[in-house]
Amino acid sequence: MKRAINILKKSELFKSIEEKDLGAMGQVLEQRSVQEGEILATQGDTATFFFVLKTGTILVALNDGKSALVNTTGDFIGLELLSSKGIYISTLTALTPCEIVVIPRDTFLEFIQDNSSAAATFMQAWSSYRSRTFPFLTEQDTPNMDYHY
Amino acid sequence: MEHLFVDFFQNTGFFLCDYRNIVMILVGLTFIYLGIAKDYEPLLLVPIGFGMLMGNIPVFQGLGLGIYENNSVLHYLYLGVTQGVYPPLIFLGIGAMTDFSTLLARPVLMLLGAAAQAGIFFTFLGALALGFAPNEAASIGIIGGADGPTAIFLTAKLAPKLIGPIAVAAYSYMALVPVIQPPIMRLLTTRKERLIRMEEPREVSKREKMLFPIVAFLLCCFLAPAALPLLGMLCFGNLLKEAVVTERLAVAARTSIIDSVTILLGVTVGASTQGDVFLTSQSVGIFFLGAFSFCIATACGLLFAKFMNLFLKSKINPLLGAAGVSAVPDSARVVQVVGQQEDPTNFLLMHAMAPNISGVIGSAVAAGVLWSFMS
Amino acid sequence: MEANVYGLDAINAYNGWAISVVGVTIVFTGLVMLSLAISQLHKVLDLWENRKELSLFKKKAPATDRIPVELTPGQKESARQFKLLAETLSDHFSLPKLLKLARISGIDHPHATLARLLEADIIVSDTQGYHVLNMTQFKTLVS
Repeated sequence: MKRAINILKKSELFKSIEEKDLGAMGQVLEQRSVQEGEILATQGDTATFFFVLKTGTILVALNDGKSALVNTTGDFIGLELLSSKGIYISTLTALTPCEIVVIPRDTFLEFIQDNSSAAATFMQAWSSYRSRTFPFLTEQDTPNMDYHY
Repeated sequence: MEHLFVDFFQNTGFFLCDYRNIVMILVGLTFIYLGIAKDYEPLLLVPIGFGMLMGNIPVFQGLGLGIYENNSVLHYLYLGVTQGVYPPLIFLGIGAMTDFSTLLARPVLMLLGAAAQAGIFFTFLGALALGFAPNEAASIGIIGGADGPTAIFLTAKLAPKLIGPIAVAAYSYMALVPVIQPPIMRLLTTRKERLIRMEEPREVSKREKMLFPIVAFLLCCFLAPAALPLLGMLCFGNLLKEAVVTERLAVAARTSIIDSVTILLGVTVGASTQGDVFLTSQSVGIFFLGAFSFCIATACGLLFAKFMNLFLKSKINPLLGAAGVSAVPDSARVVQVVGQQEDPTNFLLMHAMAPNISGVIGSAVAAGVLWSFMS
Repeated sequence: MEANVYGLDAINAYNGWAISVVGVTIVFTGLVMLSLAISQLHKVLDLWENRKELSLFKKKAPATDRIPVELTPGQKESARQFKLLAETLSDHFSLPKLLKLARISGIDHPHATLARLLEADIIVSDTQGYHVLNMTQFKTLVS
């Protein structure tokens, strides 16, 4: 579990969040090995996990034929799950043998909802990571801006 | 018995009504329709719209019913507006919900917010030229700050009789930002400029975010002490949010407090727009100047961004200048939309939030400056 | 309205120009000062936090030198087959589609080979979600 948290800390999305703020999520992280060609998630299936990459290359494929590669330690896959009604919107295929950290979706959602300051830090980092890695994905709405003034 | 019925009928709204009440009731219904059916700023237009209905029910004077009668419930609730209590409380909530990271990551974007506030002073001059008194002109000018609470706060201090038309003008034009700004943005920028991609912002630490409200408050209020009520509450709310240990206070500020105050502010401002006060040639002038102020503020922000690019190595997309008009977050969204019409992969929204939020600070400072000049 | 003065006369009478110029100057000055202060804030905090350390490390990791990629004969053969498949698709092709064709065609270790071609920049992203063949790199490494 400690090793899994260390991988998380290498992620630009998590590194500015303190370990204590990871809360329950820090307790349920799991490290897994994935074989070449293995499919981690299939588009349309019920979403149960988010992933953080330790080593290897993963192909993120969308239904319109577009795709992106995730191949840097700490890369995060799956935040679109927050708005996709609980289903995977991309198919994740390991192009090489990979080591990944698996985060249960419910635990991640609790982290986002319970800790607004860490969540805000995460969302900001996610926004720039997403625009860099998935520039062709349509942008989400303003964060937390229901109130107009 | 007959005369009882006659007396009763003479006290009904049907008897006391004149055409101005009907016009304002129709305006109120329009606001409610726009807010609910069209989703135009519903949190503002629905309370204001219903307040207009309440304020324009013809009532017999002396029964303590109308908002301008000293012993009426509406009057007591309206004191929060006239005494300048509600706007600072709203700013408390705004501070508690605002993330200043994008501003901290690239502070130079604050200047775009400053440039857009020039619209306030151009409008002030325009209002003077149209024959308004200086205190009225200052209240009208602040519409250009595109900040509802600030406009209401300053008007309550300088020209309380104009609160109704100024508030309605300010909130109406805020809702119309997606219509007003894009043509000006396209007119004043070239395609090449609109395609400029912004540098990724640097990471901002928690400590920076905690220190910012303290530094901002001290600096700005030492310079313009009259900005104290608005800026003080804005920065305090932000500190509550960033300090984390006071998270429950921040949650209260950005939910129950701001929502409650918004309800009371909206309803009472709407109720203050009684036909005989609202339907005057002054109001026409105010509406005209309000549109003018938004246009000028947008143009000033855009042109200043282009001016800054003459000196900057890492160019700014000049569209961000339009986000200096502090209609948060609508003008930032407009920048995103116009930018994406040129290049769908150019995400300007988070960058635009920086001048958008600095515009709030700028308009609060401008309000403080105008208040100190006019007092 | 208090007085029936209009236009430039009204502005002059009420000192409008002076109020506007001074007002804009004060707003600008305030925000410039704030902008300068917060631009230095993170440096001051860095100094404070690292005051006991001997040296300061910047957060950005240095770019790693790229090791020149070499393909084995088997990988070169697979690369030629990938090229043929990519040529049946459009210039900007879908990578998942290419991978599917590669699996159907029976290319050995299609996933690992594709990863190698991407690593060698023989297949590159067009930043719009599709990919293109880099013929220059292909000729250098495969031919």
